[in-house]
Amino acid sequence: MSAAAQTLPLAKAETPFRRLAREFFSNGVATAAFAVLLTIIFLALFAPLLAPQNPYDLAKVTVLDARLAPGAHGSAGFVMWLGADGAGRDMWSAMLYGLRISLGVGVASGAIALAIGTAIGLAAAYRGGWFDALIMRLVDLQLSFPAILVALILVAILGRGADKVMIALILVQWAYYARTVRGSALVERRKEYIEAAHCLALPAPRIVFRHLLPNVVAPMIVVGTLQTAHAISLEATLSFLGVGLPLTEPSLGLLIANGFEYMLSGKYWISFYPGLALLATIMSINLVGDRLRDILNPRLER
Amino acid sequence: MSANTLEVQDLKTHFFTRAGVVRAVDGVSFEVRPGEVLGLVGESGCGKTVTGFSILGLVDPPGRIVGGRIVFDGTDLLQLDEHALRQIRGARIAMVFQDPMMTLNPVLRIDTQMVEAVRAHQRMDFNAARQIAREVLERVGIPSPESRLRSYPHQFSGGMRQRVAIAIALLNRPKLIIADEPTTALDVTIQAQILYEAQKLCRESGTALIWITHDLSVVAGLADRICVMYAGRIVEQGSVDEVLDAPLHPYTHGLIGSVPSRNRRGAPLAQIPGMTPALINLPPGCAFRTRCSRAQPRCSEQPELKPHNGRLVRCFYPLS
Amino acid sequence: MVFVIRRIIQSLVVVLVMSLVVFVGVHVVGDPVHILISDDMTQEEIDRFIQRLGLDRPVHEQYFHFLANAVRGDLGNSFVHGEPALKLILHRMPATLELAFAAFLLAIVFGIPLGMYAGLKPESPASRAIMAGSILGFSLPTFWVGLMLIMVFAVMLGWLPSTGRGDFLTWEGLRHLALPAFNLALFKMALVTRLARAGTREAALQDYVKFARAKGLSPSRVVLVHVLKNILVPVVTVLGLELGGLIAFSVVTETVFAWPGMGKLLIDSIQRLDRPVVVAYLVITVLMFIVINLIVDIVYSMLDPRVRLKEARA
Repeated sequence: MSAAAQTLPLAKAETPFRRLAREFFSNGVATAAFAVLLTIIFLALFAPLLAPQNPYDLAKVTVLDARLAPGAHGSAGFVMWLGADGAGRDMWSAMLYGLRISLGVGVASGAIALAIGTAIGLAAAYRGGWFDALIMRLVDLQLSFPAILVALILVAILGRGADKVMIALILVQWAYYARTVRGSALVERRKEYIEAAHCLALPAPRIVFRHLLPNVVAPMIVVGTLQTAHAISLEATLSFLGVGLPLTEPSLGLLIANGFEYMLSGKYWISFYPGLALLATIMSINLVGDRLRDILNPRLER
Repeated sequence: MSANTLEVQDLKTHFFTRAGVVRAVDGVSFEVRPGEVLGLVGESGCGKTVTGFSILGLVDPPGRIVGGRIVFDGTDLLQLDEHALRQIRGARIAMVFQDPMMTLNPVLRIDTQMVEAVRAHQRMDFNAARQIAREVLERVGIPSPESRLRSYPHQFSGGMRQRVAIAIALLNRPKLIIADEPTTALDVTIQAQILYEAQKLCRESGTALIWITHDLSVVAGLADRICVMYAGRIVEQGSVDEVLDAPLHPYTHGLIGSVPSRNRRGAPLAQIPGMTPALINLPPGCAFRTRCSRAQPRCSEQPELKPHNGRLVRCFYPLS
Repeated sequence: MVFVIRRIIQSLVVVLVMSLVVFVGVHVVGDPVHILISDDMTQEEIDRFIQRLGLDRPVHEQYFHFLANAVRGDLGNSFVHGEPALKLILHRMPATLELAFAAFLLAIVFGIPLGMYAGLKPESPASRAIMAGSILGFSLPTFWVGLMLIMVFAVMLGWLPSTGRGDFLTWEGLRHLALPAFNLALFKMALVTRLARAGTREAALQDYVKFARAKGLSPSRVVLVHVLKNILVPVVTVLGLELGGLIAFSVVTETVFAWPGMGKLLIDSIQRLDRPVVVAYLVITVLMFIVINLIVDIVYSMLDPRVRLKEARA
């Protein structure tokens, strides 16, 4: 009986994740973008180890190096491949640290906004009624104004400071997540498996988190990537304008702003290289998000 | 005997998809004489609509006409370039589509859409063209045409819209009209009216009409001759009375038998067993053999369209 | 006509709500004393100021006071310039509007044809290039593009001036307008291109396009009349809303190019803590938004006849 009970091996089922990965990487551009993104994340995470100099340690930086052209030798002995800025900081090091901050703030604000927006969106979809209507009015009202305006209003009201900027970024983004999640959740809510869960008298939070949420994840991923890119761009813009992160947390936007005055005298590298880093970050995130959207959007099934 | 308005000879239109080649039209031949109504009948997916599009050169990629001749008034349409074809479309050959809601542009007024059809083929100013449009609308039985001209498609009922579509087809007095399931989306009473008017128009003006449909009862009252299509080929062809009274091909017989009005009340509805085959990678031999009660080993060869009792049948064992 | 009136009433409601929000933001969330009072006033002056503004009164009284003042056009005086804040903003508004409209026109004039071409021939290399360009267009941070434009066109090539504004509609004026307008337009151009492409792709597959071809219409007529009119509706709607975004986003371009508009004034004011000007800017901008939304709604109903009738029946 024991040998006969041996079951035939099943073909290895492809999990949704594997299929997603396979479809994603079948596109060359998206793969390249993903690779670039990974590189950027790596650079940002390990900035202190990779940078030849900590640009914010005043002891290491000397104004003798100020405005050196790319490729010149600095006083500390290493080659400044990307030149030096107005205070003598090595651009490559400054860029790495700036990348760290820009990416960090963008991702952190995005993650928190995602959490808040998702929670509210799910709650609105699930509760329905006046609660849903109120939330949606609020969301619509906020989304009818451009993000930069909302951000400026918040900064004007809240004042300066890194924490205030984070709050502003989060407040700008939550509405978009809330609306997307609510839309998806409403569609899912009508489906039968939710009714079934209802019939089993499962408590509401459990239905929402363990049944509704996993099916809403796909559009969230798409919106998440695109919004993060947008958040990074917005923070850089605010910092550039001088109303974003303070000097103690110099993001790429601030670096670019610092280089502004040197543009007209031809010392382009002070703004150019941080700009490239910013561009590479935003674009790779956008490309990855674009590809994800093409895969996860069922309507484009042609 | 006057020359044929249209002669289709061995038309082949294939779709080259990633999944394989779909032989939507695979060697179709028929003629239409002036003033004649030809019914092109078959289930959905048999290739009749694609035949209609092929005549006008409106087959979109991945589809392509790969063989045959389409002789209209002595000219082979397949040899013409796009510019020459455009002059024929809408002027000498006109087409009526199935769903008028989708075929009339929702954001343009009726007069705009009619006038442009006229002015595409004749040099005429707007008002003169509009006058023609108004007259044709009256001809197809639309009351108060002036206010209708200024309206938008969604302000019409289904039957009205289809009359407008027919009116557009008539604007330039074509010699041939191809009507693709024009009454399928309408209810029965409107359908009957339109059929009657279509017949009248053809008799009066000598326009040839190809009526594409899956509904035998429509064809029975309207057509002079009928072609039955299955899986991209014509399986039976002849005058409508002969074919419907005494069908030769088992498929035709099954089609007729399954029309509800022909079945007895209380008895189970007669059906052709099985399903229409997918046109991708059809197996060789007679395409109907998997559903045919008369199939024999010989049917695994492809039968040719042969004359039999004054008609054409594609079967080794036609009913007699 | 009924449609228009209904929309106007709805807009007024929104204006009221927004005034409430601004008021709450300024007077309740932020510390109103802190926000509206210059930092270097003596305590006596501050007390008098508080009394004059009625900041020691209950909140709802303050709100009506604020509304009454606002309607009269009194939004306080700038600390820095000493003049009424509203006047300052309005003085700079034409410059911003010039920039925003120029960018708007550029976005439409380039974006729609490019997008339509990409939609009609999606597999062609030109179309792929256009789509790649559009991704670049909205990934590039506007301020950085501005800097690069200055770098290339003003410093290296010396073709165009890098800062300032010329007179309206003169050759000098247009030279000064070129770079900032293009800079501001780039992002929106990318968006419009993508929208137009998606719309065209969808429209091209519709039956009415095939029917138009069956009528024997020339391809240019099919595209320019049938397809274009159908995609105009969603494109115009988005564009109209984006016009407001352009006005807001001009803040960045004005800073980079030293364009003397409202946006630059706003940034300067935020940095110098000149809060009445900030409030004035917000009020004006929000009002503009609401008016723009109203106009977009009306234009939308004119372009798509189905909307008009649906509203009438409702």
